[in-house]
Amino acid sequence: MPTYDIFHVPALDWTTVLYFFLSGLTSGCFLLSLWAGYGREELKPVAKTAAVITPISLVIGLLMLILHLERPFQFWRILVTFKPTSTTSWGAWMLNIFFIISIPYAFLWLINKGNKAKLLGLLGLPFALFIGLYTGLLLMQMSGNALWDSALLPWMFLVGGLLAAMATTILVLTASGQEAKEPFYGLRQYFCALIVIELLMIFSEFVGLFTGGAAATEIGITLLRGDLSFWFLSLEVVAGLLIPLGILVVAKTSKKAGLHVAVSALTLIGILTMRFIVVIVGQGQI
Amino acid sequence: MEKQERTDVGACNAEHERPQGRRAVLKVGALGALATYASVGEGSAGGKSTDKRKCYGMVIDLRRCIGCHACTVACKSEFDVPLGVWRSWVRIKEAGVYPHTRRSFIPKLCNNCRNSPCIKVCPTGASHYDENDVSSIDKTKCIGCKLCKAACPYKQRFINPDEDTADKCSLCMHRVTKGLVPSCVNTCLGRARIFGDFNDPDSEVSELVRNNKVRVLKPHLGTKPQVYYLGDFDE
Repeated sequence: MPTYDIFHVPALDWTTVLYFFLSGLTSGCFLLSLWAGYGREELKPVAKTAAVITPISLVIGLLMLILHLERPFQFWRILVTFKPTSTTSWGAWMLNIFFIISIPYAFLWLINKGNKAKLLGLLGLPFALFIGLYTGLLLMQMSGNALWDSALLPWMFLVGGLLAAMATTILVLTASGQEAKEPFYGLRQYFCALIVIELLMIFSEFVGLFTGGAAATEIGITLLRGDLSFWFLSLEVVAGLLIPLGILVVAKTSKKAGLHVAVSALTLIGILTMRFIVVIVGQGQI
Repeated sequence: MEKQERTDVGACNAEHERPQGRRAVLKVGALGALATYASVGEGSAGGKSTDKRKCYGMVIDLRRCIGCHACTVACKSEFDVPLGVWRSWVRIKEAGVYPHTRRSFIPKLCNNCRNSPCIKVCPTGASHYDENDVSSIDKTKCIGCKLCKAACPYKQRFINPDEDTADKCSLCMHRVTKGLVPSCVNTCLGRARIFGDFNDPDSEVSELVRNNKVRVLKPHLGTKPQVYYLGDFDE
């Protein structure tokens, strides 16, 4: 039925989308670096590269956060108090503590003191994990929103962040000319596993939407048949997840730079699209 | 006949919920512990005895609303609300196919929720319960992160373009504390808006919700809103 209402400007916009992407990237890179650091010798380049990307993407993310504010110069107010019911308040504190940890962590890897870095990394582990999850938690907290009211959201964000981290690391390693000793620098199987998990979560999310009541079903239909459905299906699902999975599975032994770049670039486009869809479609701005 | 659920009405006699919610599970580390007591005490109305505690809200009699928008205009004028944004307004819904059509009107304003999502998500404490237990915004503390705007399920919050902070209907506390009624209530020519204190059992609003079938918007979200609609509407 036709409704005559005032125009509601969406609260979260492109700055939020970019921040969600970058915070996922930063936490994913840290977790990837820590995991690779404790792994095989062949994964050391991954550990080093991911460690260095962490603070860089964090800084750009913080910039996005500040840009998002209506009063950017007042951003310090978020750090002079702590509101335990506000996920954002938790996030602001955790982010800054994590920032302080990630800089020496990256530096230690840069000067090839990986073993010392690993110990520092363990300290940063809970913070990185929290940062990977909290943006999803933040959205989930707003239970009035049909798309965001899902227990899967924080985990989709975390896995998405890990995927973005792997993709960016592979991209940087390939671009810097470093030769891959193993296909996809030893990340092939793990990349595949994460893509499969993400696909399963997207599937589960849709089941939840179509069984979640009228508002949820409406959002589900919008995702599949609305104005942005083409971008959702083609960029996020097909290009962002299915094609990279296909390449990773088929090109089992390939170390070609071209394939590395293709998989990485497509995955990054997919993860960025996912953040965009969640934020923009979630607010009813189809 | 369907029995009206009255748990929403009773909500006001209890202290407004201390923001705790699901995030209680996230209380890790000493970081939270000390700061918690300092900050939770800060912004809430706490410390008042239960009998003096107010619970301001409204009853809106939809049978009397004709969608004239006088309340919308009065509110705009009272606060000099900038163009394009609104503190209180009337939403209109049409139903049916010509010639069997009808319109329904829903005046909307801040619901002064007892379990308010906007207050819970505010990271600086700008959104808080003031000394009258009314959901308010401390403009000096607001950084404009817009999370309260995203969290409000009733879409009552907006960014004030002149002040660059979050803003919303304030239940005209500047008038109420002087013994007047809110501007929209004052203007309503159909006497559709009735304002009062739900903690006062003798007030008109308390009487209305006791004796009539009333509804709130989105009760399933557990926000415990204090705007009760008398008469039927299409959500």
